[in-house]
Order: sequence, then C-alpha cells, then structure tokens
Amino acid sequence: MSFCLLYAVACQPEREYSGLWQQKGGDSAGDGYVYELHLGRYGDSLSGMVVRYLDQGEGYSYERTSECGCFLIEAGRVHENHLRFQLHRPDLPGPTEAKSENPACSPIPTDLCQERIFVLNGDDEELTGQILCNSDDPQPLRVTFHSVFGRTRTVCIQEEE
Amino acid sequence: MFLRCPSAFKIAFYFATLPAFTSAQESDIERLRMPFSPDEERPRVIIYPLIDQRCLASEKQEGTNALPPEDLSLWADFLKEFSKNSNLNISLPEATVQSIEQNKPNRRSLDAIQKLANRAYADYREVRLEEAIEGLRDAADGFYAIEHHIIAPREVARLTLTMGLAYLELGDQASAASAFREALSVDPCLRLRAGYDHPKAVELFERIRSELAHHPEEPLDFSTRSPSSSFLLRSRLLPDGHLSIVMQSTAGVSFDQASQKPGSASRLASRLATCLPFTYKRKSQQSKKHLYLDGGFADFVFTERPVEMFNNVGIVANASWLLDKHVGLDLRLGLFNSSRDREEDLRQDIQTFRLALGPSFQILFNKFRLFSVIGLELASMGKVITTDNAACKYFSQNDPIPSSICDHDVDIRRSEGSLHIGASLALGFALNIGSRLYTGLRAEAAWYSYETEENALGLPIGGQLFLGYRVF
Repeated sequence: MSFCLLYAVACQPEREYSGLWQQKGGDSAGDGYVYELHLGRYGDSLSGMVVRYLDQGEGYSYERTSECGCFLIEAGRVHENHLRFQLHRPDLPGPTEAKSENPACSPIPTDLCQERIFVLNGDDEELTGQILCNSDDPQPLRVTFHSVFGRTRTVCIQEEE
Repeated sequence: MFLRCPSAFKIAFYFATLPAFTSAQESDIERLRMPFSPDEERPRVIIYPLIDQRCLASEKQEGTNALPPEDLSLWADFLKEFSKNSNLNISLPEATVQSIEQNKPNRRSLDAIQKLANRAYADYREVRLEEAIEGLRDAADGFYAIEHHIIAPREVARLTLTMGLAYLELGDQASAASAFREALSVDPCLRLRAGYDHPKAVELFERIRSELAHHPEEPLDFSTRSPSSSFLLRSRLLPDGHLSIVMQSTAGVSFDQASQKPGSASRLASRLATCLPFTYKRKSQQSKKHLYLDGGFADFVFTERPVEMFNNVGIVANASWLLDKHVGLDLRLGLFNSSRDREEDLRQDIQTFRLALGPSFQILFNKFRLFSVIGLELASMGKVITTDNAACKYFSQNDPIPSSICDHDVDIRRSEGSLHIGASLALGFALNIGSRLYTGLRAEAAWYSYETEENALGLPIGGQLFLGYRVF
C-alpha cells in the first residue's frame, strides 16, 4: 500500500512545458520572423506545432494576418529542463491565412538550411536557446520564448471562432 | 460476618451467565437434576488447604496443625456440603496441593529459590544482616509465587521468622514485627524457643502471636496466584473455632464465616454457592462463527503492462465469514479507475471490476487479527488504448497530419474489454477499535491464467485501507 501511495506521486503524467510559447514581437533573431510554439509534452517526448509569423514589431506580430508558415514538430525530446525538437519538412510550410501568398512567407530553402532544430532550456516562465540549421550550425539564431495564456493548435488553418 | 457478593461479582456473573439464565426458567435445584448442555461450562473453584489458627492461642509449638484431623469436623462438613454443587468444577485441597506439587515450572523454580534461601541463611549466620534480609525477602516472595507455602508452610514461615530476627538485630522493631506476623500467617503453630532464642525476640514474637490470637479477622496479607477465571477459596480455622472463608476472583474478594453450631457449615456452603455463577456459556461456542463486513479505499498497479506504471484507485467491499477460530470464507469486490502513466502512453482510463473468493486463515492477538486469503479472482477490464508516439497523443485522428508523423491505425494499439481469471492472494491485519468496529490494511496480488482478450495487463499488486463492522 505504501509502495503504491509513494508511486502515486511518481507516476503522474509529466506535462511541464506543455502549452503556448511566443517570442516577443520585434524580437526576431534576424530572419524577420517570430515563432509561436504549440507544445505537448508526454514524459520524455514532445510533440506539437510551430507557427511562423512576420515580425511586425511589438504588439502586432501575432495577428492571423501575419501568419507565415506552419510546421509540425518531430523527434521532440525532453530531458530534465532541456528541450530539443525539429520541424517536419521545413521546406514545406503548411497553409496559413491570407499572408500565405506573401512572397516573404517562403519555404525555408534546404540548400541553405537543411533542418530546423530548436534546442532550448526551460524554466517556469521562459524557454531560451537556439534555432539551428543543422547540429553543427556555426551561426545559430538565439531565441527566447515566453509562456502565454491560450489554447494550443493542432491544425494550421484554424476555423473562425 | 455474613458473605456479601461484591457488586462487581454480581455484574460479572450476570453477563457471564446471561445466556444460561435466560434459556431456562427452572430453579437451580431443578437444573442440577438435569444434564448439562454441551455449551455450558462449570465454574472452576480451587479450594486451598485449611490454615488452622487455633494454635495461635497456645504458647507451645505444635506441628503445622494445632489439633488432630478428627477435630476438624466443621471444615469437613463444609467441604462435604460444598462438594454437592455438581454444577461447580471443584478442586478439593488434596487435589490443589497435588496440582501445585506437579506443576513443572514450579518444580524447576523451587531448586533455585531454595539455593537463594540457603545463601540468605548463611549470610544471617555470618551476621551480614542486610544481605540476609534481602535474600530472605526474595526467597519468601519466590516461594509465594510458586505457592510453596501451601506445600511446606513451616519452611516458608521459618524464612520470614529469620528475617524478623535479622531486623531485630538491626534494631528495626517494626519490620521485625511485620515479619513475625507474616510467619504466623503462614504457619500459626511456629514458635521461638525461650532460653534458646534471644529473649527480646521471644518477647516480640509472643506479643505478635497474642495480638493475632485476639484479632483473628486479620486477613492473610501475602499474595499468591492470580485468580484468572477460577474462584480461589482460602480457609482458616480461627482460635475461637469459627471457620473463616475468603473467596477471590477477578471480580473481587468476599469473606464469610461459619460457627460451631449445627448446620452452620452447610449454610456457609450454600451461601458461597449462591454467590457463584451456575454455569458459563462456553467461550469457544460464543466466538466460533463471525461475519465481518468492511469497506474502504484501494489502490493497485499492474506489474505486467505495456506502458509505464500507473495507479488504479477504487473502492472495495469485503465480507469474511469465519466458520471456525482460524478458518473462514472471504469475498472481495472492487471497482477501480486507472490514472495515466508518466508518458501518457495509456490514452484512456481503464475501468476494472475485481471479484475474489476463497478460504481465509486468521490468527488473533489481543486486539489484532492477522489474516490471509488464497482464492480465485475474476477481473473485468475495459478498453485498453496505448501508443508511444507523442504526435499521436498530441493530434487527434481528425487532424490533417502526415502518416509519417502519426498513423493512428498503425501507431495506436487497441484492445477491447476483457475478462481475466486466476489465483489471488491477500494478506493483512485488522485492529479492533471498539467492541465490533475494526480497521486495518490488506495487501493483495493476483495472477491471471486465462483471459478472453490479450491486453498485456497482468499481475496486479496493491493494498486496501478499510473500516469494518463485525455483524455477529
């Protein structure tokens, strides 16, 4: 009985870092975009989506009209407070809203950036780390995400609420 | 002085004999003519040998009895009349002495106590008075504990007499008087020898003897065996010829006397018998069958499972029907709902119903009851849906995601509801917290040997915290 009571604490679902994370508007790492992470953590594994927005400056970036690409997360892993995942087909962003036709919302060219790997360290309020084009990328983009209130998405094009 | 049953006696006897009293309307005389029921137990009365205190009146030393046995007609009449109570299981003085003599632990202790007494006598002879007193006291207490003063009163009385002499030599007259009084209570015919023993000792001893001869009511002040469930009957023939009886039991102590008048011994025997319960309801019969009902909270885990460990929390009900002191039949029912594992590979709660039936074995220790149950278990489990693909956990089946990320038909495993049958084992203890209420813990495990659908779940191990009520 005591074994089970002790284990009842240990075997609870581990959901830390699940939820919605955003860069601050105007906080683009240099590629002209800001990213929104929709994360679902399940113990040691991680899944979800990354939505890319045109950086419109503080307060304007995360409008629907600024959406500029949507990617699924793959190979997501979590170890203690370290998160690592990459985008599925970064060269083929999922459809988004009106701005999808914007020439600026281009696929990430694979000849320049074969992968898109996020390596982050987390605490309760922030995820800080880098976005790499491959594991040996000498010029990673430095990013900081903040936890925000909101529902995570599971589709690229959301229905109107 | 007439016998008065202490109120505690009456209450204890009333409850002890309630079933017997209420089941029959006849008088005791009529009931004595009838055969005893198998579930009736006769009260045990242990009669100790008579202490003849008539020689307290004489300065001369006698044997341990003041007068020959033929002068003990009052005592003999009392025994004869009291023995007529066939509802009582009476141990007469000869049998009591024999029982004490044949008691093996007593015999083993006797040698050690006699050696202790001999060392104390040696200390006294060599004028190590304080050591002598300590040794004599220990030896006397040892003899009382094994009731050797009933077998050899003179031997024990001489110990305390010597202790009194040692006190006197130390100048402690009060302690010496107390020791002499104790010696005379054990052996009223013991004397110091004038011209041989110290005159001051003889003088004090004679004063004590004279006091006891004039105040024969003084009760015996040394303790012996605990009365337990028996009634202990101690008798003295007082210097004035009266027969004095002291009856001890767990319920209390009562006193009574008979005079030399004709019929007095018979009336004393009747009064004592009236004070005793007619019969007891046999305890073994009273406590043979019990029904225990309890319920509580339970938790278990499957030690065989396709995902990380997860808890199953639920409510349980148990019924234990005790057929004998140690053996019974046990039925357990439990309804459980699962939580999720750490990685949430389990995608849906599992509802489990468990039913176990089997023989139980138990041991009682005061307020504790230890038990074990080995039996058969039937478990019904709901759907089991699992996946180890994180994307399949995040995205639903309707979300437009490529199959390389999650193919719900391939990456998610499903098994329908199933029935499992196997052996079960439960171990636990219960603590009585009232006359019928109890609480306790139960650990249990099961091994399934048959299942209608393979769901990779098995070997549940868990525990229960329960509160129960003994129905009868």
